[in-house]
Amino acid sequence: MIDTHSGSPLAERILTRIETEKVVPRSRWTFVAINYLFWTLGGVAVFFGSLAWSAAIFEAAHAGWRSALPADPRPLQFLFETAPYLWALALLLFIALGYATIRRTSRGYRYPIGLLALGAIAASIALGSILYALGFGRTVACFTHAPFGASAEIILSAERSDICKGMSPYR
Amino acid sequence: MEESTDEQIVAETFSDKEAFAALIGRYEAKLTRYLERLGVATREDREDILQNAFIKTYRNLASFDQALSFSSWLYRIVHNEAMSFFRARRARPQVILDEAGETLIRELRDEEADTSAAAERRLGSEQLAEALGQLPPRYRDVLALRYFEDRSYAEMSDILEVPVGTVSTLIHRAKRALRALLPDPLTL
Repeated sequence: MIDTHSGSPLAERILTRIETEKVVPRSRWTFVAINYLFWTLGGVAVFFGSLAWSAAIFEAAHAGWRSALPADPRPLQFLFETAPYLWALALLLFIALGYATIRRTSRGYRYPIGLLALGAIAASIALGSILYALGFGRTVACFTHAPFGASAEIILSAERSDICKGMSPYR
Repeated sequence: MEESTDEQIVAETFSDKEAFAALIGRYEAKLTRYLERLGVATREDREDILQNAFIKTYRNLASFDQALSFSSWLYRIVHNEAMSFFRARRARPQVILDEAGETLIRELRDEEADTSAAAERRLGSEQLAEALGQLPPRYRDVLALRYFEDRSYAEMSDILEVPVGTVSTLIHRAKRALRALLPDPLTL
């Protein structure tokens, strides 16, 4: 049996406010649904991050290494120019989104930022590698026509046209 | 008669809102003292914060995670309400300290590298309260929770909604900021 008579004027005022403002406890499913929504959004963000990773592998693998490297006197500059920046940026963005959404779940605050970020990166890389092996990297890269550096675009254009033939909406 | 746990009262509140009065009665004094230590100077402001916090608690009772202690969850709501209060009002915080201030003073003294010099130094509660009032609210809060409310790092993590490692960092920074505000050498 709970003694509900605290005798406190503050308690009386709060109960009166609850009564007059018709405050009612929100249903549990609302909170559960919100929690699942954030976990799902976090998962979706990591999934998109993995798509970005699969496209990044594809771009790196088809950067025209054989044709460019022997002829180019500055291989480091070639690497710098052909690095898949857009995908790296997309990967970082989705990982940040994943972190931000998971952080908002009921116990998300307990995970250190480093652990969450590493977990999201590891998950994106693992899933992204699988997606690449399944051919999704090519699909994503060709459909979105990710921009390379200007010189790399020239080097790659012919090779790229063949790979993405009939896939890119921009060609 | 065995006293009901907070969780039992929460369960009872869903069917009888009068039971909520028992929770309010149980925490009113503790939370008022916590707000005093945070620097909420007037009784009216403290009561407003508590009223709003308890109303939010009541409205969100179903979101109470049984993995936490009810006490930590309630402190979290009051903490959030107090931080909103400090953001909205630019009034200078006025920390009210009781004997609990001694714990923090002892902690600061114990950390002095030169113990012989530290023995000569004395710090009064008023000076400490004054210095605490000048700290950013977040730092004041972690010191209040740790040294005045005697909360563990795990509980503070649940109250402040940050990882345990961050709690430790915040305490360290808050103590450093506090030391910088205290007279050197510490004298009474």
